[in-house]
Amino acid sequence: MKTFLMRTAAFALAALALFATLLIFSDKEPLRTVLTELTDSTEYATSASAEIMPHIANMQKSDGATKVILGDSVCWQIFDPFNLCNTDYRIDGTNRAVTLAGQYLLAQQFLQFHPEATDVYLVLIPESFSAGADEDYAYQYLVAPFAQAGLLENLDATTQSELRAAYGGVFLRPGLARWFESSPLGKKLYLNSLPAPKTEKGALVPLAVRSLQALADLCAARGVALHLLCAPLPDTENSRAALANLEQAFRDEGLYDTYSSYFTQVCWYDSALFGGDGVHFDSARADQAFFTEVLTAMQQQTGLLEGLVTSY
Amino acid sequence: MSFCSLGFPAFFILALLAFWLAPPRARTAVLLGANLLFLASMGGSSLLVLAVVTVLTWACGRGIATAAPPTARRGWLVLGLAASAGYLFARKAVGLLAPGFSPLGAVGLAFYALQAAGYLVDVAAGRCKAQKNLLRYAAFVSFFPSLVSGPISRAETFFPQLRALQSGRRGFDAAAARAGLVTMLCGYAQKLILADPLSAVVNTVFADYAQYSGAAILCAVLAQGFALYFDFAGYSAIAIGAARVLGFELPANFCRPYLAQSLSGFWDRWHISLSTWLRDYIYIPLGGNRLGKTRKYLNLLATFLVSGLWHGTGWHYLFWGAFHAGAQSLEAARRPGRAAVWARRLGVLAVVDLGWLFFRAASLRDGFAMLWRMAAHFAPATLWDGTLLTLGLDKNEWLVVLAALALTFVLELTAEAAARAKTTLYARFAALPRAAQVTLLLPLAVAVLLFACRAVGGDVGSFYYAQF
Repeated sequence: MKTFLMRTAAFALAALALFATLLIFSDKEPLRTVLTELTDSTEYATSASAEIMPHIANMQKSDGATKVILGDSVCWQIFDPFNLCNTDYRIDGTNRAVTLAGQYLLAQQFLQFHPEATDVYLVLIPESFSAGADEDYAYQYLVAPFAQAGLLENLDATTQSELRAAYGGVFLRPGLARWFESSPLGKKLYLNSLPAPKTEKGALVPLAVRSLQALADLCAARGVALHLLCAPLPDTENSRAALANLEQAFRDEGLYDTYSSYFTQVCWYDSALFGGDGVHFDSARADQAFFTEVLTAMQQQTGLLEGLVTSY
Repeated sequence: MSFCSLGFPAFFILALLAFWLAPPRARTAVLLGANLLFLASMGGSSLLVLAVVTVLTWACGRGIATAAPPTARRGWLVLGLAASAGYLFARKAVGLLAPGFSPLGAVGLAFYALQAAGYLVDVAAGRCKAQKNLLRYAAFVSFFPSLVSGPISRAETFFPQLRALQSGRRGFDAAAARAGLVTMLCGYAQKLILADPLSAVVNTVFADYAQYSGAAILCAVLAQGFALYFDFAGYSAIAIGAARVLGFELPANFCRPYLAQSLSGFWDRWHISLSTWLRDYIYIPLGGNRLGKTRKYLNLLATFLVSGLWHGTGWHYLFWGAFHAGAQSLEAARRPGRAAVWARRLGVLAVVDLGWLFFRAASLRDGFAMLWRMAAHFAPATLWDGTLLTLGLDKNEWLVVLAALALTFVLELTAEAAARAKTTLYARFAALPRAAQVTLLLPLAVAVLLFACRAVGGDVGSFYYAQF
């Protein structure tokens, strides 16, 4: 029996070694394409890192900008049309899945590469404060791109420890993160082997609180003004309830006094102007002129965003 | 825990080590423990139903063996059959007549209920002795390799093997274990490389057949025939292989059914353990073919209707059973033809695939509607205009599946030739030098590992016959 077990183990090891060899080279063509199709991993071939990494690179450009506008996809929708006509403002709205930890890292990079920076704007809808590192897309939008850029170590110790627990410390290294992004088979096996994370619930998840606090501390240390602005909201019962919930959460965390303007300077719009998701403006109706109006209204409502160019 | 789940290899290795390292006398207890752990991983209610069926049928078996008056023996037999096959078929009949209402079911019930019922009939007929030891009986009913989808074992062959293992007369046999592992590997290959990709085509078309041409439906029906075969034959190979590593020989379940030259031959080769169960416990007790032609055809009809009901609670399953009874009666009634071997094989394949259409359709109405589309909207151009690449497999996947089908076809023909020479394909493989064996098996093992990756994140762990 001993001989049989040894031979069987040797055979299993040889098969696993061959499989591992294929896996290791599954990030290189033509093996990548062949293995991706054979193993039905095509849906893992699309990389959110390709969407987020240019934003990280933008933060690291020495372009003379002194102000940065960061935020979720609503922020991106209303500010991005004016990206090219602004030189003093660096505009880089991303999305909710980046989480506030990702927004912190982007701001941190901006401040590091822009010593003359004066203002950091964070434009978010209330729902963005509920995004934790346990969300469906957190690996794709937070972990993978920022790990590849080697920036995760800039997060606070608690968040780093949570990410290590959720994704495994070794997999947060830049080299391995890059390999997973290039190997759809590797990413499929990795993501599906992760245990279901403990879901953070609430209008203001602890990750958001920590990241907001870290961002405030960073800005204070650099003498930079941090402005937390509410993105335009549809005037509906649900939106008002979400904002009220968030306000209560801010009060419970003792953050309300610092960020009260987020709740008092909201620009409300007719819900008919919004698309099917009830969050973004209907792109069929909203053109550049419309967004100019939106930004002008925000400027008037907040008294901020001074010098932002809203027309070409 | 399915055979294709990540947990199974770990469970199997531990069960194997515990079974063979335990003192022979403890092997029944170890096996029963492994069986219960395996079933418990699929839910507590399954365990409860298994326990009730096991205890009741064991007690009835003891009752049959010890009761003197024939009426009392008959009483125990009826009670035991009611607690096993009776409950199973009553459950199916209720589901058929009152859709939506489903009495408590359990994983593997369709298989172990027949196993227990067969045991009781055999005890009553004196073909095997009643098992006195409840633990041994429970190990037989719940034997984990065959628990979920068979093969359906017979007490008269299982208990002597268990006794031999428990007494130490049968010890670990490296050659048998090696054969078992190779059989398991081939089973995984059938399931993962062939059945699952083909099932993608089947699921795509059957879920929305009205959107597809008759030609596409024909492809899906052909794919269904092969997907079902490789899914169930793959499962059976894993089960038989796992049992062999544990020192048990389970009955064969498939013997190259699509090479059969007649419908009766097909049923001698397809799901053999169920076919023989139905033959021995339904068809022959009804009179078999001993009471004239009309009675024979009626017996065939009754047997296939039971088979249809066993497979599911839809009317289309009953129709499928009646269809096969009718086809086999017609075959028996006509004079043997002189068609070439391959013409006969293709004829069998066509009839069987027509049956699979109704078997897999969501309802009888859908089955006829698909048949109508095949006849009225065939649109042969869909075979080459790229439509086939929208059925769940892309070009490369089709190429891989077709290549694997071609290789399997050659292997089946080789196995058929080996059988004619009174040997087996495995025996020929085992006679090869060890290096040649490893050279053949290693790529297969790696292919299985790669195709197992398709299963990650999906529901490929399920086997079609586990639902019955």
